[in-house]
Amino acid sequence: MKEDFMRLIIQPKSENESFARATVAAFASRMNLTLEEISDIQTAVSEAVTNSVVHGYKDKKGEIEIIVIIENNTLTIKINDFGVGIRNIKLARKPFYTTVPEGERSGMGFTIMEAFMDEVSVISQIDVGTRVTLTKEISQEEDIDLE
Amino acid sequence: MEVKYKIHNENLIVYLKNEIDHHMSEKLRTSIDSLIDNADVISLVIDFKSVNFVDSSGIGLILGRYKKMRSIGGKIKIINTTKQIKKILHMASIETIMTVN
Repeated sequence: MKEDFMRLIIQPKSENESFARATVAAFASRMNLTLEEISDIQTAVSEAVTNSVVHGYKDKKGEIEIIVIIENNTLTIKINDFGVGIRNIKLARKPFYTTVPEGERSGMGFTIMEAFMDEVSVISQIDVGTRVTLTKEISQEEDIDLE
Repeated sequence: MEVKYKIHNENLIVYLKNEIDHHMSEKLRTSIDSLIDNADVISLVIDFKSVNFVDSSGIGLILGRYKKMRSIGGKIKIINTTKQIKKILHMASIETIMTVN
């Protein structure tokens, strides 16, 4: 039984996006991930953190909390912000949908999270914040005992 | 932000590097657009050879430059992408509107 967790709190600055995804990947790498799995996880985390920076806080100050939980072969990543919240989650998850077309946002954030992780859940409340939970089952190769 | 580029026969080649996320895209957008505006180019080639990470902000950057090139009657092409970058670009079907190599 493998069990571990970490918690990271960052300011919603675009500089912190790369720090957040690299930190999550470094922590998760103890699960014997393939290069593709590492890359998928980094991309999904980048999308969720960018959403909090761009939409949740819109360049205002605040906190983004990132929790990573390892439980056996399941990796769970929670990205929580205490920003403006999402008015219509169903619409926000639609491919190419964006509330800021002039900002050159592609509207692909949630679509990429859904494609690269096994499960994506979003809970949001206006002016309270947004909680995104990403889950991925890691296909563990058995360690071969060399005697 | 300084970006490595080459202009040859009205073709602008831009060499991107490292990670193309929201933070970098915002900076690159202005740099690439001023290169397009200041040189008389009819085609833009974006080279991903030294890029090791792209997320949806990179898609936004490419689509934005696609629109800009189209507005001046020019073309855009993406070269030297890895399997992982292709996977991201494919999510937005980028390869259906421009050449991706």
